[in-house]
Amino acid sequence: MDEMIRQEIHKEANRCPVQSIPWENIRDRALDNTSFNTSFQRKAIIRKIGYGFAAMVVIGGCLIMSGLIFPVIAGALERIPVINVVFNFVGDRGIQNAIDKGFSTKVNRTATDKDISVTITEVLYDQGRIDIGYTVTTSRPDLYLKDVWPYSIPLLIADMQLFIDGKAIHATRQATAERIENGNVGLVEIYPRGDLPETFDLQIVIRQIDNQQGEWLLGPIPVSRKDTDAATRIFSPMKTEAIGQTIITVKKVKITPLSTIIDYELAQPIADEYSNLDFYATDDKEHLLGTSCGSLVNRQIRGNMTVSNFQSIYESPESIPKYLVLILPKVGYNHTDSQLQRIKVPLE
Amino acid sequence: MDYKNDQYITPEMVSRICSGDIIAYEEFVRDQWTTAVRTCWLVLRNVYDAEEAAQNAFVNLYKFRGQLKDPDKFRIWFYQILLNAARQQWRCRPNTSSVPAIEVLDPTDKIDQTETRIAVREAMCSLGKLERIALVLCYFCDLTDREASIVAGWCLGTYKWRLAKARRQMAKRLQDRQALKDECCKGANESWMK
Repeated sequence: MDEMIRQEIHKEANRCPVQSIPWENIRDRALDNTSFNTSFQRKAIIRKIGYGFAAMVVIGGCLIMSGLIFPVIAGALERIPVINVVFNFVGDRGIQNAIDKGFSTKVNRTATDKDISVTITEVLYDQGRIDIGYTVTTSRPDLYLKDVWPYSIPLLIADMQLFIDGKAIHATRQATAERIENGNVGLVEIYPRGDLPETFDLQIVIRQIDNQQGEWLLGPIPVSRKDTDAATRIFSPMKTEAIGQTIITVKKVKITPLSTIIDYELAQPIADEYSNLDFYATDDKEHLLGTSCGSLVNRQIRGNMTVSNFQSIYESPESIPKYLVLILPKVGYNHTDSQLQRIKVPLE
Repeated sequence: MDYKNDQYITPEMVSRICSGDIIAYEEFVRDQWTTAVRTCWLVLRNVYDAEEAAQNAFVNLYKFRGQLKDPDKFRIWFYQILLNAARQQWRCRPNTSSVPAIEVLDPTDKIDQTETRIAVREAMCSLGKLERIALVLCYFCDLTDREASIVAGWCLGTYKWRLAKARRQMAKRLQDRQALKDECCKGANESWMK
């Protein structure tokens, strides 16, 4: 099937009618520095965050799991922190920092139905996000051997609902998972809208895993951010920079064991199309902070300007930096050079 | 079938492009134009947008040539620029629906091939944009999972997750079509036997 998909996609691509190369046009535009600066800056400034960050993934269903079905697997999972396992391929330094400093809470709650076990292994919670580590396992070969392609992940959770103190929450989610022998191990990141209580009971309800309908109820799981709050530093740099006709003001920076949370305001002429900034952030050692999520908090009209407030969440730095550098625009992963605008945000 | 192009671009060519050699740049554009347009087309599903995105990508590649830190990663770097251009094109007209493409039947096509083609097209269109990107990077661009995750700007696990979803959906479509075909053949045989 894998090779069949490959072949069909190549055949499909070959059906695209490609016109002759507009070389003259490409060459003229490539050599035209004037139009480059204008359009580049304009495009750079006018970016979407709503879409872009939402594109971080809203996988409408995810997870939970686990298995104490195979004693060997169960034993292994007891010894290996799941979030750490997932971190290895997620690569989020913020999670690693938090784990290293002992901020993760062991949970180990399991629910089983249809011979499929879901175990919540660990939870990390700070003012920016909730990370839930989990495993899903089964003793049924018809399920875990169903997909054996190199990249396939068995037992994907199709439907998951979260309740905080009994109330359903709606939040942007990002899920990652990795295959294990008889299931998968994964991490769900939740970026709640609005403030959540410092401590709460989390309940997770799953109705479908893969094509199996069932009921997996997990919780209540006590979750607290008291420890991460105590280690959180808050700065109010109020740093303002003008980029073309757009004015950006970095109002607040919170650095938690997990996350770097940046609250900023954009003021743009009403006549401009909907826009936002999509930037990188580095610490004072020029370490890039991986982006987690971003969202529009509010928007209002002031005179002839549209004023929007955004919140962006990045992974945390290894230590509290003296300043952050915001780099824009986002052209590509390796592009952080001189032509890019840099905003230095002191943290004092 | 091996679709990989090991001689994608030589180090010497990369060096010439990065130093601003317009001849080398033209050679690269001419060599990669078709692949670039098709990559964008698979993501955007609109040939005009795909050509626009490819054109923007080649222009940006030349303008940002000085920013390539590691010449060995030229291929990944180019795909990053290409995918960003496609995304930018998507953002410009996210809600634009293109007129459905007219199916031009190839006289050499058998009915079975045409059905497969339509099934693939429907499956591609039914995928979400992110899943489609994962599928294209894996199967059309032939990038490794790590390369593809870098190009897409996603965590490796996130890429795998999206690819797994896309493959499952694509496989289901193709299998459903195969099952339908088998059913039809069986029905035809039975009716012939009567």
